Amino acid sequence: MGSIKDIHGAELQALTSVIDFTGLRVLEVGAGEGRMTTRYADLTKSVVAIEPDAESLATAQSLVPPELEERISFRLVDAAELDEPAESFDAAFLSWSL
Amino acid sequence: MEPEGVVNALSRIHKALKKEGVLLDLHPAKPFATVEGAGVRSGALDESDFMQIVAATEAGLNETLRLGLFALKKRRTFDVVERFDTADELVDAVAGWVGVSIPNRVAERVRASAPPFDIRERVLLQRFQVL
Repeated sequence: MGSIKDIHGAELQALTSVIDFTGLRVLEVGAGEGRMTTRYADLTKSVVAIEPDAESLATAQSLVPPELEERISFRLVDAAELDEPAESFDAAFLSWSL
Repeated sequence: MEPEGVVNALSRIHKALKKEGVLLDLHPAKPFATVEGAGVRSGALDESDFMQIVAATEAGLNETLRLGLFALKKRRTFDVVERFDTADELVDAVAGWVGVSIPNRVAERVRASAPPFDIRERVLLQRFQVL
């Protein structure tokens, strides 16, 4: 019982129509429970997913498949307090988040 | 988040991005999401309050364009469909969403309908370039 968001995969299709993630280091802002993260992470070099809600972050971490564990890292932080090193990402992704 | 908060967050994101880096923004857009049962439209959600939140976000984004942090390069809209196992689950899920409600007549129509039970939402995807 439950629901499936984006049953037709329209989000990933749209994303990849506007960016080629190959080799990119991506900052995902407001990753929530990681619904989008695991859909595109395999296309990237790496993803740093930030999320201010600890419960959502824990869920996101628990849902990462083993083959993506080295590629995705999570941080418990709000975008308003982001303090990543300057010029350290090729792309940032706001996923239904601000 | 208020526009000032959006600008603050985007300024920090801008700093973390490489020169000529890319910012992707994906968020819901008008018109209001529709509810469908068995592929037939039952009606629209009331997203009046939620769209005010979206407008505040867009105002913050626009301010970063005015400040010369980013430039809009691509923009497209598409629909995202969320499918529920039952009509009650659909109605209960919407009750938990911030700034969104389902009018009684729409809830009644979808409950009287048959699967699949869907919410179809218009989404805006924008690609910005770091300046």
